Parts: sequence; structure tokens; C-alpha cells
Amino acid sequence: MTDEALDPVTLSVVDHALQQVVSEMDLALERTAFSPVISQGQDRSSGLYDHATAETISQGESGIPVFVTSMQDMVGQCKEQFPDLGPNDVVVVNDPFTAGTHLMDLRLMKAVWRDGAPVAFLANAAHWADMGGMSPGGYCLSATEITQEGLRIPPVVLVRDGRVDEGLLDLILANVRLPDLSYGDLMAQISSLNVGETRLQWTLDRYGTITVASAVTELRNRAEGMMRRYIEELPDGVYEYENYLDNDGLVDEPVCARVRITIRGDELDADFSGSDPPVTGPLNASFANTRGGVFIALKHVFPDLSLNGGSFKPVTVSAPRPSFLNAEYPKPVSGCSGEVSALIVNVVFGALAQAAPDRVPSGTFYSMGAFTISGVDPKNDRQYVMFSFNGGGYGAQCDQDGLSHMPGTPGVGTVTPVEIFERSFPVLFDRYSLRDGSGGDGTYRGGLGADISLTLQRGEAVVGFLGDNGRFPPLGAAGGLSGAPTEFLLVRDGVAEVPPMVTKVDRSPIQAGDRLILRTPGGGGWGLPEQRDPSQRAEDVAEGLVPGPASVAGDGGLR
Amino acid sequence: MSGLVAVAEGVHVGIQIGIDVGGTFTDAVAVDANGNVVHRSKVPTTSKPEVAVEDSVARIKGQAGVAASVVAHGTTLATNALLERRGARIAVIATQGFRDVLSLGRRVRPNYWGLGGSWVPLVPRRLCFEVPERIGPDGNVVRALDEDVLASIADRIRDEDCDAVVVMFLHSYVNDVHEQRATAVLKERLPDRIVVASADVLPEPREFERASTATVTAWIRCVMRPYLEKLRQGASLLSETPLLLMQGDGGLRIADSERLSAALVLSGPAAAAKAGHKIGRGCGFGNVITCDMGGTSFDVSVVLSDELLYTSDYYLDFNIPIRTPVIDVRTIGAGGGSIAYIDQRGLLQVGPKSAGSTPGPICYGRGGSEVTVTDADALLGRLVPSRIPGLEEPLPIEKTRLITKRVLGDALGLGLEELAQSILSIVTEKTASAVRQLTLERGMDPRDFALIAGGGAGPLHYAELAEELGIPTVVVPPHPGMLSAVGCLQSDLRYESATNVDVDLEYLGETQLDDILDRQRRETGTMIERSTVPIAHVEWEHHAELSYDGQTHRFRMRIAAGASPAEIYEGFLKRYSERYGVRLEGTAVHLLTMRTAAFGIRSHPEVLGVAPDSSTGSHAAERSLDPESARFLWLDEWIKCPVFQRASIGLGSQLDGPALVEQYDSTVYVPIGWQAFADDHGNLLLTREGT
Repeated sequence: MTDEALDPVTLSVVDHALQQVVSEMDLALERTAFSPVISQGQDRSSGLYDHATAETISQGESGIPVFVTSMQDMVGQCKEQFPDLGPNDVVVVNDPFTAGTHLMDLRLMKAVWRDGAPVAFLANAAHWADMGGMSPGGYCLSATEITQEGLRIPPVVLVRDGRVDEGLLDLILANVRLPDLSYGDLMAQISSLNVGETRLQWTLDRYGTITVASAVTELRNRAEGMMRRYIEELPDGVYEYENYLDNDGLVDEPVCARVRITIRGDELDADFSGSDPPVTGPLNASFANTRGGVFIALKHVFPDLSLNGGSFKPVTVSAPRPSFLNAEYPKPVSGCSGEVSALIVNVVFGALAQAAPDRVPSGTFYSMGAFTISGVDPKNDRQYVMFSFNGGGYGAQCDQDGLSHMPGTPGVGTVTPVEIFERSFPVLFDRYSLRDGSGGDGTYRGGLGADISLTLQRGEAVVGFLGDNGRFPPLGAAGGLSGAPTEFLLVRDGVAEVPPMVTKVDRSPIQAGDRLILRTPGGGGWGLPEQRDPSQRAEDVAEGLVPGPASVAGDGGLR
Repeated sequence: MSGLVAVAEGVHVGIQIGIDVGGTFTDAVAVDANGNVVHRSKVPTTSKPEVAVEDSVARIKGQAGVAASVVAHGTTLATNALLERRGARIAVIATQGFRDVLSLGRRVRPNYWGLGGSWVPLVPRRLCFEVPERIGPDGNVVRALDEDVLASIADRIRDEDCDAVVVMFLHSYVNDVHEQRATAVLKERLPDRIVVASADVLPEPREFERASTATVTAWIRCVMRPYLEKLRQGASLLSETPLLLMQGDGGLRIADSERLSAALVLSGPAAAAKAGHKIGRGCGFGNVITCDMGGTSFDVSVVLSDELLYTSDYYLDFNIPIRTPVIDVRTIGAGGGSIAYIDQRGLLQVGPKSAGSTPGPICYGRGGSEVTVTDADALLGRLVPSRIPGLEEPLPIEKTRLITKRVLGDALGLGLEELAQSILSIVTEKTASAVRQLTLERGMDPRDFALIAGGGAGPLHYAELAEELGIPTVVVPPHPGMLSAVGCLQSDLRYESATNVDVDLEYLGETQLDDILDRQRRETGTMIERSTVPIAHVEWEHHAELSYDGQTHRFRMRIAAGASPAEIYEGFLKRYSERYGVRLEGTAVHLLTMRTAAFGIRSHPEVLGVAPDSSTGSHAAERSLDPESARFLWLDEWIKCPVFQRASIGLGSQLDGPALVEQYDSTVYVPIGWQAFADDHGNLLLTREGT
């Protein structure tokens, strides 16, 4: 049927309709979710997959990048495990070694049937506020096994013939700290599948299964062709780069990611040989996560690439097994989708910059600055888990300053408003501002990080923190200077303290009146500082973005 | 659910004027009590937009012999000023530690993919100040307002020569005592400056959205204040005639710059949406999609079951949210001036970059050197530049052909006509996508709608757009190129009041809801009375914004006055499950905000097409038509097609495509296989044969 030539207008219309399916799923999930991480942070993704190959047909553009290729890998594995999935069945999974990212990312998948046969898969993923385990929120920096990180769910059928398996649901909810919230989020994920199914069926009604199928084939070929053309634009060669995490949270030694990118014609290979072996703490990643990181970097460099399985084909990725970039059970992995993904983007950028210096930003941060505060609020005796990702400044580019206060490269997430945090949790923010002077100097300046400080108002709590770039700040390029490193401080009884692992903290106790200070990293500069346009330099001073006579003093005390 | 109050008896309706000051043209339409158009004009908007308005008002008085009873004014002046960051110098005073609220935004990239791009915050950091004060999330005062610091900031703001100050304190939506105190101090110290308190504008949590909405409000007031002053000074007629401004919520408000809301940014598009609603209703269509294609953009709005769709999630631009409810108008960069180019993959693209009106399309002869949609229309014979009013020296078509060939050349291996045809196909696809986006994301099928044709450049392309979307009927109103001006005439007064309620429905006090609605009803009713504009009666509409307890997004639902919490609860569960397929049994429902809108219903006649002085004999049915001329059109080959004049098409007559209908403000293209029928309201209904 695919030899039936599709006219370009129909192709474009079907392309749009298939994109519409997943955009609506994204929107439905975001609008109906209960956790701010999903509804505000947009830490979720939705996709449509080929029934025969499990390849991505379309994935929501507003979904977070980290899920890009790992969703396809997850669908492929679940499809093999459940070849007879019915039209009203839903599979649930969060196992990193099946699904790709950490346990907190709960994924659902369903088959879409038509005329008595399955025609496609729909899937979504959402970051749950808590998945049980040792540390509230799931980022357990002292974990040495995945079983300590939380509830691990292999692919299992959650909904059979339209009926939720109540026993399984109870089992899941009995093992998470926020069962009401999590129930709401699970229902939001199911709503999103329903919305996607309705739209896909509508699309098939409107254009016909055969036309849609030939459009899917054509779109995959075009996506692949586009990727090949972009790779071809890069000069053939071998480009190597390496960079480091501060430590793994348990053993205070740098962790090295090394990549060797080979470009030959229209194909690209990323080989992570030489990267460190698996680490003790939770800064490991499954291979699916590593492969995803490479594609995130490529799509940031070539933003109009399609989120389609065809785009992935000309790119091969390998990582030694085992290594911290290709870890196996029972290694802990909670830091994989934040720091490790972003580190992969950073090193792929570093290698690609040698091939195409004018297309790649200089050093961009790989610290998600995720802090978790949890305890029981004396006001209502309820347990709470406050969770916040924090961004930083982007590296400058050959023709522009880096953007300030941006999400990590594997994310898109919006920050939760201070007012929403304070309404929900017993904290009061002292400050949330741009971090003056944190952007790396250069002909083009790196973006600024953020300067955040908050005080616990009531009771006692434990603090967790997972970040990086504390010892290895984002580097400048072409003569530009580094951005400022991450600074994380706990202020107890008025005494500020840098944690032993600098950017990793596990369940550190605080009490009412204690403060937490986080200064997120700035981006690296691009080009020699002395070549910066003097008027731009003066503007930076006037705006207080760099230190100068006009810069505004803070609120005194611990700054 | 809506009360009826007779405010005035024997409402005097004389001449009414609708004016829309757009970025390119200023349109004016005046109608008498029967809806007959006594004046219409379309003149270029200059750097002194008030002059065109004064001229129109004066001319109408001269022509009609009486002053207008009301002037209803829509405009994009403030919107354009804001998008270009001009016309206002604003300072922000924030809670200590939070002066960067507008720069930080919600930490989103300009694009999902790619780390580049840039944006300019509404207020430069050097004009963002901090004052020690703090209100807690429960409304408790954590730290007193430091009035000494405030006073010294006020002095600096005076030195910096700011036009306006936004006061943006955390949690002011629960307790605005500090905001109100600061506002009073600032007004006293800076008597001639505009001061906006964030909670006055938007009594809702989320500091960035509230700050953005408040700053947009301040910006609009800064731009509109001098404009309205000039208007009142210049046009002495306006000192005796009530001047109403169109808001983005689809309502008119008395033009008091102190009371304008952020919703004014959508003034022009909202007016067009209102016109589309009225026109559709007149033809008996409950579901309409109103399209408005001008020189640079394509706006689309939707009426479903006779109700205009609204949104509280409007982004004026990247990182500029406004959170006051407005008509849900989507805009894309596709208009007559949109530029066609070949991208790096060798594919033909059109827009969003536009040639505007200067230099404009190549065929305008104003030095334009890039191929636009209008040029494609000219190359295909659909448009004859010499017949466009206001063009001094349009380019002969041979020259347009020559330049087009030089610019886009043979890169695509297409003949010139095929190239032009492809440009139009791409525009059709882009506009169709915008319509699909707006309808499909709400679960609606565009095939169940009629398309209302608005915008000067639109009627040349709408039949093809309708064909693409499966829309059976296109309604071309009498004045498609002046849809916003017509919409202003056809709108009512509207004032809104909102209360941050923030409580589980379960715990809502017995009379709490009624008390809130009563108060809001009184407040908005007073606003209508104060406006001293002749109206027939007042109607009220109430909306609740709800969510399941714990959710952070809100759902807007219309409710009847007197509805019980239990009814609202059931209504919410039902609507939610219709949309998302789940009911969360046992989960509490939270009532966040109550909104009341009061409408001062004005008498506005249907705007007819045929001017009473028209020599063709209005309202006389002529079943057969003689084309006044004929012209060669490219339809895969050059074919001679009839060209009709709109003014001479009698009611009840019908014509077959291919044909063109020329009129003062637009040209209508009727493709092969389509028919046009002139209905009793003066509309041309385009339908596909056999439907």
C-alpha cells in the first residue's frame, strides 16, 4: 500500500494530525495532573508508536527531552512481553532497566485497536513526586542498590478490559508516601491515553488507515533523510571530549564521561569507551538513558529534527558494559535522567564543537539542583515532600549571550511559583533572584544562574540535594571564561556549612529557622573577554548582571 | 441565571461609530438606527493615529448632520507598542529578594529545542526595586512594610522619569494591605504617575503571572492615556460623545485610562471575534470559526453552541502571560504581506516574516523586493493592484513577474504560475493548521462549523481553506475588511469582578457563594451605571474556576446564580469526565476564583451592506447577474472569469465559480465548484456545489 504516492499536502496534513494526537496527550496530562512536578514542571512525555516496529511515530514537542528515545525502547520491550495486549488494556512500568530513566518516572502504555486488530501504541511517562524507597522524592544519595531507591515495577498489566486491577493499584499506592496525589497523577496518565486514543481514532476515520500508514512510512523516511543531511553537513572525522561529575554522592571522586564521536558521511557514532565503571552511588544510567542523551544533544544542535524513529537510525551509540553509562541491576540510578543525561549532552556538545564550533553553545551546566524537603507539618500533622528542580545559565554561542535561568538541557520544566510552594509547604523563601556575576565572561557572556534561599517555618525536616558542577563549573569556549560553580549551603543555627559531598546531600536534618541556600551555575562564555562590545559590557554593569559599582547589595547576612 | 434590569427607557440610538485602529489601517464604520452604513473609511494608520479618528468622526457628523451617539473603539496601538517595548517606562517595586520576578519567568526556553534565542523582559532590571515587607501564605504580616525605603525608591523612580509603577508583593492576593499602603504612598509622592497594585489586577497566586499581567496593564495605561487625551482634545466632538474602548474579553468599557485592563491587548481581534459571532448568529449558525487575515497575521476564534470560547492562559508573546480571561484568539504569521522564501532544505516556506504595508508586496510598487502572498494573488490574476484603494503607483504585472522570477528563480523548477499556486497552498495549509489547533484541542470537529470571512486579504483564500477543513459554508459579511470596526459597533458594555475564594466546595459556607455573587453583581452593576452610556438592560454571567483538590491547573465553568455547592460539584465532575474520561471519586473539589461579568446590553442594529444612497437599488432581488468585467485567472491554465462588483449584487442573487467579487475593502474568490449566494442580511454565502 505504501507505493501509493501521497500528495505533499495530504502528507503534511496527516503529519500534523499525528503530532496533534501527542500534543493533546501532553496537554491533558499536564492539565489533569496533581503533582506540581508534572502540572507545572511538565516533567512528562507522550508518544505514538508503530505497532509493528515500536518505532516512534510522533512524540509531544512539549514533553521533556529526556524521554525521547527511551520511550521507544520501553514500548519495544513491553510489546515483546505482552504480544496479546487487548484494546482496553494498559501496561504500567517504571523499571529503569526496561524503561530507561529512574524509578520516579512511571510509564503507561496501551495498544490502539481498529477493526479487530491493533494498529499502534500510545504511551506516556510522568515523574511522580514519590515512589517510596529510603528518601522522600526518590533521590537517595546514599543508595547503593536500586531496591533502596523505591518501588520497582516491571512491566505488568494495570488495566485489563477497561478495569483497573485494584489489587495492583493498592500495592503501588501502599508503597509510596503520597498515595492520594499519586492516585490523581495515575488517573491523569490514564486520561491522557484516553484523549490520545480518541484523537488517533478520529485521525484514522478522517484519513483512512491505509493513507495514515503510508504517511507514517513516508514521514519516517523523511525524518531519517533530514538527520542524514544534517550529519553530512559536519566534516568527517573523529572528535573526542570528556568531562566530570563532582562525585557519586558516596565516594568523593570525580566521575568521568568520555565520548568519541565519529562522523563518516551521513552517519554518526558516539562511543563512550573510556568512561568510568559503575559508581557506588546513584549516578549510574541504563544504556537507554545514555542513548537518549546523545539524541537530546543532537536535537538541541539541529532543533528541527523530527521526534520520529527515522531520526534515530543514522546514529549509533555504544557504551562499555558495565560502565556508569551502561549500568545493570542492582545499581542505583536516581541521578540518571538529570545530571547524567545533562553530562552526556555536555560531552557530546564538547565533541561536536570541534566539528562545528559555530553551531554549539559553550559549556552548559549539568546540575539539576534538585532539592527535597520532607517532614510532618505540625500545623496539620500531614506528611509532605517538597521537591524542586533548579536551572542555571546556558553557555554563550558564537553570536549571542547565553540565556539566564534556564532548565537543564534534558528538561523543559517550568519552576513552581514561590507562592504555590509556600501555600503547600512550611517554608518561606528569603530570595529568588538572578545570581549576579555568575555568567562566564567572554565576547559573548554566559547566562546567569539563580540565587535561591528559603527558611523552614515549622517543625523538623530532612533535606536532600542532588546537583553537580560544584567542582567542575561549565567551561567557556574559544577563549571565554567558565561560569560560576554550584553552591549549596545549609544554615543551621546561623552557621553555614558546605556539605561533605558539595553537591549531594542525603537526608540531612534541619529544624524551624534553618535555611537552605542554593546558587545555581552560570554558563560558560564564548570568545575572548577583551573582544566584548564595550557598550554591552556597560549595559551588563548597569543591569547589575556583572559586579560593578551599580550592582545592588543583597539583604545582608549570609549571601 | 441572568437578571434583567431596565436601566433606561426609550434608549436613544442615533448614529453609532465603530473604529478600529490597527497597525496598518484605521477603519471606521458608521451606522444609523436601522443598521444602514452611512459612512465607511479605511486610511493608513500614521504616527498620529488620533488624526484619522478625528477626521472620521468629523466627516460622519458632516455627512449625517448629527453627532454620533457613541463611538466604540478597538485598537492594537498598545499591543504593538508593548511588543516593540516602546511607549512606556515602567518601574517594579517587589518584595525584598524578588525583584527579578519578570526576568526569571517560569524558567522556560524560548524554544523547546535549541538553546539559543533571546527575549527582552518588560522591565529592565535597573528599574526593578525591592522593599522590605513580607506577607505569608495565610495572609499574616511576616515583616512590616518599610515606608522609608519605599519613599527613597519613589524618589529614584521620579529621577528615572518612569511613567508607571507596578507594586508586586508576594501573597497580596490573600492580603493586599501592604500593596494598598504602598500604592497610596506612591500616588502621593508621584501624583502624575500610573500606579498598579498586582492584586487589584489579578487576585490570584503565582507571582510571575500576576506580575506580568500587572505590568501589561500598566503598559497599556501608559500608552492609552496620552492617546485618549489627544483624542479628546483634538476631536471636540468626542467631548460630547461617549467613547468606549473594546477589551480583549469582548466587552466595551468607557475609555478611562485608569481603568483599562490587560485584556486591551486583544482589543482588535476580540472585536472581530464578536462580529463573527453576531454575523453567524444572524445566519442561524451556532458554531462558527471567525478568521481574520490582514497584512501580517491570521487570527482565528471559535463560537461553539452560540458561545464564544475564552481562555485564561493567554500568552501575548514568549514569557508574557496575561491571566485575565480573554476571548481565545490564536494568531499566526500568515497574511497578504507574508514573505515566501526557500529554506535550507530547498523547501518553499511562507511567513511568518511579513513585508507589512511598507515596503509591502512587490506589486504595490513601494520598493518591496520580496515575494508575498499578495504578489502570488496578483500573479494568478486574482488581484489587480491598480484596483486597491490608496496605492499611488502599483507595479505593472510584468514587472512583478520579473522581480518574482529574479527572487525565487527556478530553484523549485516550477513555472511562475505554479510557484504562485504553491505559495497559496502553503498559506492554506498553515491557516488550516491554526484552525485545527484551536478546534481539535477542545475536541471539536471543524466540519461542524461555518467560517466567517474577515480581513482584507482573507476572502481571496477562504473557500480553499474551507475546502481543506471540510467546512461547508463560508460567510462573507458586507464589510469583511472592517470586521473589527463592525465588531466594536456590535458589542456590549462589560465589566468584570473576581474574588479569590480558595476553599473546598464542601466547606463553602451556606451563604458564602451567594454573598460573593451578590457583591460582584453590585460592583459590576455600578460600573455599568457609571459609564452613562445608553443601554437597554443589564445581564450578568458568573463563572467558577475549579480544580480537584491538589491540582494546579484550573477549569473554568459557567454557573447559574443561586447554584448550590452540590450542583457545582456535580457539574464539575460531569464536565471533567466528558473531557478527560475519568471521575476521581472521593477527591475534594476546590473552588478557586469566582468571576462575575455584567453586560450593559446596547441596542446595536445588524450592520447591513448596502448603503442607502447606492444607485443599484438596495434590497431588490435580482436573480440573474451580469458580470461587469472579466479577467484571466490561472486555474492550471489561463481561463477568462467573470468579475462582479459587490455593491451591485442584489439580495437573493446567485453566481457560480470561478468568479471574483470585488468590493471596497476586499476581493472574494469563488473557486470552480463553489457558488455564492447573497442572503437577506447582505452576506455572500459561499458553498460547495452539492452540499
